[in-house]
Amino acid sequence: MREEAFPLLLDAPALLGGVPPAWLFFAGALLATLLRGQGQGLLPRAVMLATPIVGLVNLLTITPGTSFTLDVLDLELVQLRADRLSLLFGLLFHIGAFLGAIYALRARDTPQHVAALVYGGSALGAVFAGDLLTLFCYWEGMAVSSAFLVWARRTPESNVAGVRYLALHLASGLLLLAGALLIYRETGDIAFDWIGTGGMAGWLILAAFGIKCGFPLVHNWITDAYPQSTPSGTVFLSMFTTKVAVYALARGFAGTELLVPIGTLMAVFPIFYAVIENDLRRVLGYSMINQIGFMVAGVGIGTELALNGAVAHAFNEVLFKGLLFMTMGAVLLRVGHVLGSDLGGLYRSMPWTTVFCAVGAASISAFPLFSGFVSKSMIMAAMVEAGHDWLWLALLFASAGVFHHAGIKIPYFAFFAHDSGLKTREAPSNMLVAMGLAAAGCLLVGLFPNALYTLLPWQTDYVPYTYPHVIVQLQLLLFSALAFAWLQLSGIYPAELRSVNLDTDWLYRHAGRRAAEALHAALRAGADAVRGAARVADQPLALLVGPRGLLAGPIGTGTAVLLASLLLAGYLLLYYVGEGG
Amino acid sequence: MTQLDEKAKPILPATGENRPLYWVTREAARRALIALHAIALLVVLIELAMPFGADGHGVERVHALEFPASYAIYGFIACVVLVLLGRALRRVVMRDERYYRSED
Repeated sequence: MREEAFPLLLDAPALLGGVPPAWLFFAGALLATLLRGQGQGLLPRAVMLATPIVGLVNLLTITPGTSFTLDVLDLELVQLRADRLSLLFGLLFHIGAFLGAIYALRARDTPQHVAALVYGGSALGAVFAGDLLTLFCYWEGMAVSSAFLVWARRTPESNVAGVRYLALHLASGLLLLAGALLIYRETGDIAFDWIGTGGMAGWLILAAFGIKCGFPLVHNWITDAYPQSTPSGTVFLSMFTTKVAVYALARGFAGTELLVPIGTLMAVFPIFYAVIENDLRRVLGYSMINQIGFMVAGVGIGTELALNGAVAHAFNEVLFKGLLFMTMGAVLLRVGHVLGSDLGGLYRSMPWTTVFCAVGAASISAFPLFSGFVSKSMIMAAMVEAGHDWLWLALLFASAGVFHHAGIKIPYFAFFAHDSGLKTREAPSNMLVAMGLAAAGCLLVGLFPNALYTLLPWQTDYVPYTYPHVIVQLQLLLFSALAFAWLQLSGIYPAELRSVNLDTDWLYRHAGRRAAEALHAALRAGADAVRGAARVADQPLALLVGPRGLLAGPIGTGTAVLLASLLLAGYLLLYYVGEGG
Repeated sequence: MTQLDEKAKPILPATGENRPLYWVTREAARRALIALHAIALLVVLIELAMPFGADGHGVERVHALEFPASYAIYGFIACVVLVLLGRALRRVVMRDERYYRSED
């Protein structure tokens, strides 16, 4: 990893003395809470906007090698471990939090803003954590605060989706804690460095990271919860959790061969769901799993080119996926839903949102001159170098697929397709500013890739803009577009239909529920049987001690004295027997 | 309380092709489709006119795709396969939109 300082380092002496970035966000959250309702709700929102700016100034004074440690009991909890990897993610999260804050500025909902600040702070805490226990604390902080962002929509659907979301993420935290404790018992050290899958602890922690990453079978929380949050809530959600997981994988499991097929599977299977999904924010959820798949595969390869590619793609995804979620959030705000079946023709009333969506779509599709092109290709090149020919072909299939659903489907069905008759207004100005900045970021990285490459943790001499690379990528995308046009015109392309597509959440929302109901009924029947048996056994006893039993009636003084004498005699007898023994 | 904009009013007519960015008409869509075909063809012709060279320097690809216009063919086939498999998947997994509502 590069040792030299971050190229953006501020020369000025440390203004804040290199405070752990998470703490500034928590301070912001506390301040916003205290200022709740002040200045017609403007002050908390001002705090939300100012926090990432102050945080960024602090971050840019931190040099690689800086650390900040708390001594608790006999443990060293490393709150700040600065190297080129953690600093890059730190920079990314500050940019993301700032864009999200601008986007959310119009919402008069202080609890949501506070949750967003705590969430962003926890994500920063996790990437700067130098030990597993600190990582666990921020890991759980992210889980709880992000669940509040799901609940912020305050609909029955978001309430239950938030509970399902939280349950899975707390399970991830418990797996991480169990793994950390095993490592502590074995080594007496809880430093968070390369872990690998050499022992039980490694597998537990890989499972914990896998849940947060959206590994196949545990991917469903992304597509279940993200479409249920508020417009700005989903933007924040899309920026932090999965990127922290990619960071944690790159730190703890770089070069773990198993991650290559897992990542490839993640990149391939969601595109089929994305093609038939009607809720356009859920389509973006599937698309997100697809993009993280590329990153996971890159981490699995583990070469410097692959890791740089994975990290660079994570950086770009925060911008372009955040941008796409922003555009769909604007549609949600204006229209009230994002169902592809009921949208269309919105380019007339939302022209700027349409343009920004097109920039996001071109970026995620890896069009030359847009950001995805300069990062995804690093992972693809590393796959070929590592000799994964078949998996490379699968990833190329996924690349064509992502253009199909995120690049074309999202803008086409929302803004063009047919005239849905919806007449609305352009997105509010704060949302347009946030979308504009994110779109500018996508273009900036696409046009000047070296601006991103100089920030990467490892040295790179990768050149994305070569004649063959541009030509083959254009061929791939243009012929994918042709296929879409032909299939659409011929009526073969699946129409957008109001529907639910069963995914792994069916296991716990339907099958699991049925199983729980059956178990409950069986237990209840068992309890009834035991109660019945007890009632039968009760009857002879009731003759003696029941309300109308022999002993329940009034007895005379003589009988009572006789019973007492018998009791004493029995006692005496037992006493002698005992003495005799 | 959702963030649904209660005050969203129809303030713009759904016509107005003379306004900026209001350029997509049926005729424009037809022309865009023709342009798409032309550009796609052009990109293939460029590769045929100026092959990448024996080692394909500048792009890393597997041996299976080292023939002219390979990415164009692969991209087209990939998308057709994707849509056909997507249609098949829909037959298996699609349910009414109220499927989970009674259970939640």
